[in-house]
Amino acid sequence: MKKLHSHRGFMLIEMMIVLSLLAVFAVAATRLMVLCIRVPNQVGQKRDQIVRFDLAMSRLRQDIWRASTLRCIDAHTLQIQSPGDPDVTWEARNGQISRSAAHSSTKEQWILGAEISFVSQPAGAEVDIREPNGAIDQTDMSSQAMLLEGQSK
Amino acid sequence: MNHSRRGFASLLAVALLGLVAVTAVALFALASADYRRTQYNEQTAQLRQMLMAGATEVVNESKGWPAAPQVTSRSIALPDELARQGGAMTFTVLSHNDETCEAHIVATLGPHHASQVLTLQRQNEKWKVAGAQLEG
Repeated sequence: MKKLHSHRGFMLIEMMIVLSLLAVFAVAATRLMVLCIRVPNQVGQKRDQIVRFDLAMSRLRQDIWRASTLRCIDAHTLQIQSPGDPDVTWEARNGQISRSAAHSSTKEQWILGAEISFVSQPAGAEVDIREPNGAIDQTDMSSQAMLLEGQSK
Repeated sequence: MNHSRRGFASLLAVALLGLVAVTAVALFALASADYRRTQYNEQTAQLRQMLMAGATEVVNESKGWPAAPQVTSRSIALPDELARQGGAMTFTVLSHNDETCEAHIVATLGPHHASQVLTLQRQNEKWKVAGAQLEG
């Protein structure tokens, strides 16, 4: 009887605790591994997206800066007129933004992954950026000529 | 048997640690790039403000210019706070003819700089801004 006690096995409750701990560890380790494989790839994509976004916004800012007239045809189309340059039309649809100049067959296009809309302002335009997670950013872009015209009045 | 299991476990642990390290490095690189981008955007926004102030200064000064103004270059005074940050602004007037001239405004803030070219046209004996081109 004494011998039996000294060689007793694991209790069912002990086995269940160990098994559940193992299961939790296995799930956590798997999730960590999947995350670790995904993140470096996502970081690269995010960086590319940031570069594209900055390029597009820089181009748009330059066009608005020299504009003498700005017209929002609708929330996603902005027409820019500037003296000595062909009219430029910016269109933002389905997460993409494009720039086309009048009398030119080339069209510049950037995939941003965010919805862009334009709002006309007295001396420029407001650019609203809606991220896929619903967050909204607003950027005001000013026209130098329109600003100076307003000041001289 | 025990030895081979320990070896496999060690290998798995090292591989997992390596993966976590790569991820941490990638995340750190993204965060630091974001920080640099934020700083750069802050500086360029300030530079654009300076260019706008410079343009206003040029327009005010152009009221006293004759037709075909002389080629001149001078610096524009900045608030102390900007000057302490290494800010500086100059403009250069380049005359093309009696009716058109250009003012090249350069704003510098620390290692960054931006410039614009204002095109002015003479109408009714007054210089008026006909165009502005942002550079850099």
